[in-house]
Amino acid sequence: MKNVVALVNLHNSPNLGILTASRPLASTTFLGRYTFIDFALSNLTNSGIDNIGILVKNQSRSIIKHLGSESTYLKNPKTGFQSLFINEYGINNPLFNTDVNNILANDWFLYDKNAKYIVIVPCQFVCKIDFSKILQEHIESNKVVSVVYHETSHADTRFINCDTLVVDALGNVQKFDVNMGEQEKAYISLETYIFNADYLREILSKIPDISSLFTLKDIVHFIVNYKEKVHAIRHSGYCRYYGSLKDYMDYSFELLDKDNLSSNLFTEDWKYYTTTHNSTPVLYGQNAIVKNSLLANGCRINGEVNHSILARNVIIEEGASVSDSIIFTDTIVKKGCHVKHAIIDKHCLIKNKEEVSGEKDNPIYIPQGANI
Amino acid sequence: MSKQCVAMILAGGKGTRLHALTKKIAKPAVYFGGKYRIIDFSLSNVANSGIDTCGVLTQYESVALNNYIGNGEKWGFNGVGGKCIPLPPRQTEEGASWYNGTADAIYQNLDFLDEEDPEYVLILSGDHIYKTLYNEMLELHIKSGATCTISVLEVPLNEASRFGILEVDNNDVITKFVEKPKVPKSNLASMGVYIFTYKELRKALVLDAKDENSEHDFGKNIIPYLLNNHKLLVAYRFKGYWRDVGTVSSLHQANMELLPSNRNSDTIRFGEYPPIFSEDTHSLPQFIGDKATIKNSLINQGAEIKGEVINSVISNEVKVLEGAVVKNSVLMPRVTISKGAYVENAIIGPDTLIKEKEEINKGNEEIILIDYARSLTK
Repeated sequence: MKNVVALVNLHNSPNLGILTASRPLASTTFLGRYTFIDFALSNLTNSGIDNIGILVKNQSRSIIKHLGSESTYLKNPKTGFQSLFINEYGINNPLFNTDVNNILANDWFLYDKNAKYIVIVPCQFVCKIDFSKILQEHIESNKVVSVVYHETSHADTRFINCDTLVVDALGNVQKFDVNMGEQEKAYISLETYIFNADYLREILSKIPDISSLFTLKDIVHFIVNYKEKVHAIRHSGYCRYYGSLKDYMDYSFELLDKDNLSSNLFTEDWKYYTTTHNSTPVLYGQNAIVKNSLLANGCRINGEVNHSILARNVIIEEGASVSDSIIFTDTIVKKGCHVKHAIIDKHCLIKNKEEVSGEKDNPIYIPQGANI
Repeated sequence: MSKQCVAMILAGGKGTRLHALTKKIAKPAVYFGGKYRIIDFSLSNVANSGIDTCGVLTQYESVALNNYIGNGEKWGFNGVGGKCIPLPPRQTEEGASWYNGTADAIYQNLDFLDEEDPEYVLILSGDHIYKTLYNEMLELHIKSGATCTISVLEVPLNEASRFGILEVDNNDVITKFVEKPKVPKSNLASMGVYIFTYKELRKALVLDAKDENSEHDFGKNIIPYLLNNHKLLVAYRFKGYWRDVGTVSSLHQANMELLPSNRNSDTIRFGEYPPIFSEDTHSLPQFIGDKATIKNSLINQGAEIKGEVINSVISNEVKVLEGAVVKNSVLMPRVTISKGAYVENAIIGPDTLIKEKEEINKGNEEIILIDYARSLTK
């Protein structure tokens, strides 16, 4: 789809506390092998969208390192592009570091007359979205903007603080609200918008006169309230919003259940791409006892691993154990050390501390590079 | 710009003794070690040696192999000035012909080499498992001023009659080459890895092509020809792990050597420098179920283990379901071992389905090969 430009919007990514202190959610390790942005980018690629800008808010170091080469995600890096959009003025003036100002600072793609539709996707929602169908529905709706929503009956525990929307009989957005967890059923905005490019060009040209603090979300609300009908497009299937550290733990472990892994998030015809590191297959020693876990390549296991997620190159020695934990790349748990209810960041060495243990709803976090 | 050294990998052979495994793919494309294919080793060795140009001579079932090689990106040959090109036989003005021997395969691609204009050509086989850097061998070749340097491996004398054997003088200058001698006088076996000074190689190949009695083979024709013409041929002694995985049992054995219990200082370590590169399969992380038992095994990403896996090598997208047992076996990609099935001392070829409660080779010591069509089981 050469007439589509997609922008992966990292400006509204939630904060997962300590986990996202030195990196944005987009490049935070997920399921041992992925990061959150992999899902957004792979959805676009699998939908045939090859023109991709990434609206980076800050902490670009981690994003740049993760993304690697263009050919990781793009079908054809010659005919398409993958470009980081960075707004230096915004980074130096955090108040003005909005997605809209980032787009205005990187508006070169809007001059391309071939760009008919602009797709905006965030990366805090983990779901499978086929944008070719979404675009078709948007075009058939004859509206200038569409928003993708997810219908849930778990709004009391999930999607807290997300936008909700009310849809009228004609399938248009009547109004937006915020999910405070008061009801079970809700239509959750996935902050995924389809704009007709001409309309976006027009509205962006007016925005600086209205407010320098407007966000894309504000613009869509503004359009609904004062300007045009906005079409609502339903997403069905698996979808989770990663809004807190607890969400991160809960949903990661939820995916450990293979029925969820093989649900309509992970299907044969819908691969998720990620930068690879040439890791070897996992080595299981004579003393390995591994149950109910996900392991990325490069791990070496000769101890016990139970109900855990291990990223690349994690070493669990004989006489060490890990349970109910998430362990990031290159961490080593030495003999005699036991890890339970923990998130251990990259490059840690657990050597002297025999019990590294948190509680189920309050996991202990060991920061990157710790030697304990 | 001329290049110092270009590599040519001979990857056209079928590997008949691997039976059903090479029914649809050439031997170099056969899977190894859970994640790799045999040719990954040669290509990674070339890449790690800093050689940026590589031709891969393909013939038997060349489509799958050409497809795998692609632009060489998997091994980093897609960098500035680099290339990795599959070279299957082709039609020319003189007509069309297959590669009629190893030397003929190179002869038919002299135009490719002329274009690259290298000083030296590294010619190697694409079906061996080993890790090396060719730099030292190239240095020796340059320093000695030889026409050809041959990489040799010291083998036990009683096994020497299986190999092409080189006899050398005190300075490792080659004095004689005998293909599979009945009474070997030396234990230096040719590994099928040669470095030639290109000008000399070119002359020899052009002459050989005109010789109607020649089998156009490096071991049988080119090397003896050079020796007869008093050219300087030098042996380079390779030390370390090297395996020819040309039979079902040797392929199984080499896989078993990767298991933790069999590891020693010789064991090939894929991740350590120089690393072995391979394809990435966009797989999920491997999933281990709550009833799984895994001991002494090697398991690749994308695998789903809910049964028992002992002393085995498991490739990507393999499923071992509840109650299934896999022992001392090699499972190639996308194999499914259904519930309650039992597999022992086997190589299970790609895409094979082992049915519920099916027993494969139970209690049998001899290694068995099962492929998806169950056409050839040995």
